[in-house]
Amino acid sequence: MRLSQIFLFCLFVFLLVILSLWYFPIPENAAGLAHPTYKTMLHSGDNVLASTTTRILSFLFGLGVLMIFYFFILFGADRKKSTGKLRTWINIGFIVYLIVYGMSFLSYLNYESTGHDDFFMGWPTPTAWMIYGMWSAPLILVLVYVIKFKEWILDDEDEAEFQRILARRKEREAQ
Amino acid sequence: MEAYRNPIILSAVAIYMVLCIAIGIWALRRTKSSHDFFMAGRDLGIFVTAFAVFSTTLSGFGFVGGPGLVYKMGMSSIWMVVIAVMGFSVSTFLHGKKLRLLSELGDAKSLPDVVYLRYNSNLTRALIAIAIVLGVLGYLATQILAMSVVLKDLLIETDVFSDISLSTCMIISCSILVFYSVTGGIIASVYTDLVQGGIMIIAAILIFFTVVYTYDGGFTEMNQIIRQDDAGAIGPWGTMGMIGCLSWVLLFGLGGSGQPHVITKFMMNKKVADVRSILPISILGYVFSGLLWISIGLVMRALVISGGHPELASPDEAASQFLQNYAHPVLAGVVFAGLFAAIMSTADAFLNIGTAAVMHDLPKSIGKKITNELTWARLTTFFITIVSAVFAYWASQSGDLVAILGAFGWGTFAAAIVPAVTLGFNWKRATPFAANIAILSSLLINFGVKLGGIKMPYAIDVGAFSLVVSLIIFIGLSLMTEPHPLDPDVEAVMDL
Repeated sequence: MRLSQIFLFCLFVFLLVILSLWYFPIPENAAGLAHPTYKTMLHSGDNVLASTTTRILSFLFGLGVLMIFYFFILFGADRKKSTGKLRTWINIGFIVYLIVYGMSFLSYLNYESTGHDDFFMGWPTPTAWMIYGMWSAPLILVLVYVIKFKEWILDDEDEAEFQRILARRKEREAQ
Repeated sequence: MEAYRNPIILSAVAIYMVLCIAIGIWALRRTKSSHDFFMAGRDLGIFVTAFAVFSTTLSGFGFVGGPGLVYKMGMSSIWMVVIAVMGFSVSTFLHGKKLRLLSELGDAKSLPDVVYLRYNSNLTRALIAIAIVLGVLGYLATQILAMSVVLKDLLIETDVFSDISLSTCMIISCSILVFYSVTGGIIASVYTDLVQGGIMIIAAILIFFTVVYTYDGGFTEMNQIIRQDDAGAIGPWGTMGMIGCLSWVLLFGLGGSGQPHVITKFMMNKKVADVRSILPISILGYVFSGLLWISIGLVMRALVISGGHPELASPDEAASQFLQNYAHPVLAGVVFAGLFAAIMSTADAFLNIGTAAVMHDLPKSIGKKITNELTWARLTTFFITIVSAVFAYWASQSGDLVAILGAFGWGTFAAAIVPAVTLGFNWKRATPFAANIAILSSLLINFGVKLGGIKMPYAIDVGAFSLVVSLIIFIGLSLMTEPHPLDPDVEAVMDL
């Protein structure tokens, strides 16, 4: 199966997850409510993760979002020459990203059940996973792009080939 | 120094306005053709491009809307900052090489030019241009309105201008914007981005430390105050909840690669290989600037909850109230100048792509070519500014159509442009028919859901939903229809 076909299948599954959110009962105030004291602020509503169904769907929704990023990066990395090593690093980068996402999710479930008093470096622990983990995990992709650009993204031979294509085109247009 | 707070802030803004006019005049000398006007002669260096990418992404929203959202919703909107590293990576992996090479191959002056080169379809070019114009009108009107509101807030504190009206402030703002954009084109915009980016990074770091020292216990104490009031607000999903936040992650992470005013910067750098340096610099710039967004929003929420500051009249006042009451006057002046820089350069970037769409892309899509493009570009820039100013004035009176266009600008661009451009430039099997249907469906869903009053479950952003649907349509239809023959040169470049 081609990359595009696998991606299309995953997008369909993701759309089903979104549509099923309409189907199952939505907890009241799931997306927040007016703050009881301050009219310019919102207050969090019922915890949607309290229900097993919405907990699973929420987790799958997050997985779907990460999956879309993953496939887009793969499309961006695609070229005629071999992309084996680059793909390996993209896979590693996304495995790390998935682990951090999973830890952030588990930590949030724990935060909700233990009275919200677990802090790490100034933030509630699940928020710390988001701030320090989700923010920095894609740096693996950045480092690969920066360090291996001349080998895995656009090497000198590619640049020379582009100049040849450009020259040919200009020559044709001039005729 | 406190006694001179307002004069210091106004002086900083006035100095910036003069600087804008100077940049406009300087850029006028460098703008000798429509290619310079739209593409900066494809001659930008690493730092100018990197700063233009991150500061155009952030715009005035990072100074005003961002802190306001944190004040209002707690941690929810911080996902827009947290996802930046992934978002910039996606943009660079997909556009850094292919978009830059294709634009040079076709000697493109605009994004729709490259779309035409890729799909060999005037209809696809026209639809992308229409999507750009729709997004630009809304975005530009909100930028003009934001600039006028901030200017009025500052001037009203003085004795001389205490009764100045919003429409007068709008005329002042538009006059400077017209002068700056008409004379300087995109060159003025990108060099203002450089100034703005520098101001933002320095100001954000200083603001961050000012916030840390507002409470003895720093962030821990501030976050504890918010937690005691509402534990969900300081949790990772804020008040909006997990699913709504994740829809923002998709929309702002992937949707960034569909913002024409941002991705056209990838067509302007001098050397293709520069993109490897542009990526980390733009990420660093955005991350540092994000400190301003996060810290001001949180400290104002904590201050109001703990009774240290009266409740704000509107969440968008979070930044201005903090700057006017807690920041050093010089720092406040610098940040306000940075705010005007942000609005002005983003407005110019929008004007630039809107002008290209109206006077270059739409005529070309029906087989017409405008002669003397540079003059027409300047006239069209002037015309679009006036139309947007009228829209902005209308919004200030009724808050209807422009609010819809403004709020949906990012989502409209994302859902219309990501499939056809971001994916289509990296996937040879994509067909123009699929691109056309995907663009149309994205516009229909975005506006249909809003105008039809359809409520998305769990506050899922409609832009994220329409992005997923348009991606499915784009890939599905491309696979179902006959492959479209590619220009051999385009195919060769896509293989690199």
